[in-house]
Amino acid sequence: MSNTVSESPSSKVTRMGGASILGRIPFWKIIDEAGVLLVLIVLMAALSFDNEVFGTWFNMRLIALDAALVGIVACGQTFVILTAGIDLSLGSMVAFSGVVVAGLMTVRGLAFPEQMSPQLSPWVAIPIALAFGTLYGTLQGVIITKLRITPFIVTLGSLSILQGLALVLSNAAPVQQLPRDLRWMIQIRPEVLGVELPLPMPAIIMLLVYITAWLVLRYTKLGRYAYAIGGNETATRLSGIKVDRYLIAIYSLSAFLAAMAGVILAVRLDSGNYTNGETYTLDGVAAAVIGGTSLMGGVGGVWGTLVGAVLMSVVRNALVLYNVPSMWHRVVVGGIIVGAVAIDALRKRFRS
Amino acid sequence: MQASIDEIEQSQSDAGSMLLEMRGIFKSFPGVKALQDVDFDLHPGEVHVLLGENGAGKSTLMKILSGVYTPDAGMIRLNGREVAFSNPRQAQDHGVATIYQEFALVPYLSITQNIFLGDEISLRGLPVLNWPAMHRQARVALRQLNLDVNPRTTVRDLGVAKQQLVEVAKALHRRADLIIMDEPTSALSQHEIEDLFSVIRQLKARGVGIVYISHHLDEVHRIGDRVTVLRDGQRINTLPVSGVTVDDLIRMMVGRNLSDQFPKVDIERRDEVLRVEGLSRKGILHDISFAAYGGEILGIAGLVGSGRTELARALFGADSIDAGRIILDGKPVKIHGPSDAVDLGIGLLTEDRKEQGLVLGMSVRNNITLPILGRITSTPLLNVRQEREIAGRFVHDLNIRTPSLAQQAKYLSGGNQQKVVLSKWLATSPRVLIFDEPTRGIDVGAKVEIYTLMTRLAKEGVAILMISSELPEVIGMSDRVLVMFEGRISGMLDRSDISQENIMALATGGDAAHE
Repeated sequence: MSNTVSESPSSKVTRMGGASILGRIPFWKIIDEAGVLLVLIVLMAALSFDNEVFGTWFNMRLIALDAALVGIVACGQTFVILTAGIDLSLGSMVAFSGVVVAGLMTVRGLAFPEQMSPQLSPWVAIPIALAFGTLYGTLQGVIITKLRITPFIVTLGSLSILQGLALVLSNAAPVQQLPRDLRWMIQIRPEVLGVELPLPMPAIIMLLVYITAWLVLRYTKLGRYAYAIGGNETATRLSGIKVDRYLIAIYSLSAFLAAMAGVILAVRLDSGNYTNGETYTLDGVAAAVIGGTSLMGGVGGVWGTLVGAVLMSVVRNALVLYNVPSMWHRVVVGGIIVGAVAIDALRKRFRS
Repeated sequence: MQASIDEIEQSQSDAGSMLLEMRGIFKSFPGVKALQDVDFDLHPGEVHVLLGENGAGKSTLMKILSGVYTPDAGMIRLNGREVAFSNPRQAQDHGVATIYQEFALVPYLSITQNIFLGDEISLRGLPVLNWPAMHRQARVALRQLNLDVNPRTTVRDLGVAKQQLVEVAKALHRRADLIIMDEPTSALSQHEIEDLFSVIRQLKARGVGIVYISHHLDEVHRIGDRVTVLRDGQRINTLPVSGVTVDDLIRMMVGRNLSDQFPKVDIERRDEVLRVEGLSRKGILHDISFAAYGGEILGIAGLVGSGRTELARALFGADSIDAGRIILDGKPVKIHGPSDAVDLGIGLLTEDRKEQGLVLGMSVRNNITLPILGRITSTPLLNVRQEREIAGRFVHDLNIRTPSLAQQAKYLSGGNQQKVVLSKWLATSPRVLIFDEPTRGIDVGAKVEIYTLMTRLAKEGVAILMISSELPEVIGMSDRVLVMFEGRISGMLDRSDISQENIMALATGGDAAHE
């Protein structure tokens, strides 16, 4: 009877995940969670073989820069999708928080009310923008859980509301000339204590976000409950877990990350504008799904999402390198989204 | 002995009149020999019961018959002609219909639409559906099954029993002469089972052959003509039901003697743990009052829809209540949701393990520790080491058969899944544990294990509420039985008054006879 559990100690160690050394290394988690990593590696190898520019470190920095902000949004989206929800408002949140942070810091200020121009220090303006964004996410979470309206509808409404607010607050014109001392957060070749970092600052921030998110998913109750709620919300509720409370926290978290991406994007473009991050909503969903997170909830993880976001950036980069007219880019990226998921699905079927 | 009975069987049956013959069926899956040299046959108008524990090969055999799997070797003959199905559609075209535990009906379509799905009648020569004709035929089909409902009714609005009959109607409409019924009574009340049996008798009279899969051994003699027992992918025996006892069947199924199906032990009743006063939920529960004691198994009986599950949900805070008090260990408590109930030491094993009890995609470990993460640590961080220790202890203690703690719950058998759910609640050290249909869909061996655990908990002073539609289980395990009828308590039977007659009388609104 006792040997039912301890029969195979070796297999137990590797399969318990947390107990094995390899299981702790993100790289192996990526392979485990997203077969799409193989697609990415093959694609990058082929591109660097065929194109002398692609493989340069400078080009890698460009790709990382491109992937960084979508990546941060996609990370929050992954949490939401894990709970079997979706947040369609994240792209608009990027625009909203960008306009808010720019308006609070610049001379032109916010168009509402009456050209308010507080010209706050970034140290005040950024927390305010993040707080507004997070609170909006909290509000969405409350509406979704307490009024029992599906996330799709609530966040679809918010997609319009937040973009509309960005329009109103900016008076439909870009808010520009952000303080120059914020440039550190968008440096291509950042230096920390005299050492040059290999990736642009936004990508470094993104990596920190992903590492934190991974730890949260793996080692906190919030993470465990996210998987449990997505896997079976009823069973989770009937296990005595305050499901609503955790769902509200997760919608707040995803909004917070989108607001953060919005601040960085505004600094990078030197512009808070209602069009900022327009494509991030669906690109974020695509990154998560390409990375193996199931829209049905309960299955997936953030490293796969990261692979998905990088894959899309690599494709966009290659289209530029090969002089594909920019009109075609979205067509190709869309095709890649479906293709990557299809390859992964085939791989899984082949394996089983 | 086996050979001689087979010979008798052979000689009795005229090979030409055989509806189905399966001979020497083999089927392997990677790592498993699911079926080895299995024979099975069926006469027209016969009910052939197929018995076996989970994993014995019943489903595999029936999936081969219904075209879901193709056998590795073996011969299948239908009405004397050899057939080889490569998909379910072909089997259906040959008159083989299957009624699964989970119905294959479309819930939002009407009865008629379901019966005619994929086989609609059009107006002559036009691509327009002839609804009047279809409704008319559906009504006739339903009436033949003594089902008096409007065929325009949406299937979702029917009870489980009626949905099942719609499945039968659908099968008959497709001219099925062989119907496979997989655990048809598992979700039915006693009354409904009787109705189903009379339909089955009617089908027999029409010459339809029925393969009947069940875990309910008492049904073998009530409805079966012959019985075949499978164990570990092999056919153990095929016998006429008249020559075999329930004990024989159990021995053949588990390969050993089960001394007692219901290991009931007399335990001294302790203090009152739970008292319910005037509990009501509008239109569903009316003025429910009772007490439950430590060390006691309080059976809760009643027909499906009598409010038993609703009572459990109300006690657990899953549904709100409109009036009444709940008193736990002498103190009135307010339960606003399942989290309050869990904090107070109330646990609920739901009737539907897969839908409500387990997160199937999560590991055994994570399922077991789900309700107690908050107790293991007060910080937001998990304590994985302690979780592993707790889960490992229960897996060992309850003899849960799983390759590892990381195994996803969906890959365990029904009995082991139920033990995972039980572990989850044991981990919360409950004062009151409510079992709703604790052994539904679980094989005989695992059932006894669940009963033994229930007894052990009672000994430890836990008050146990056991909702069950299986009368033998209620009678075999309960110290007292609370019977419900139409949302009210229609009676409370003490141990000496517990009998099938008394329970049924109270469950149908009558009075019990006291000894």
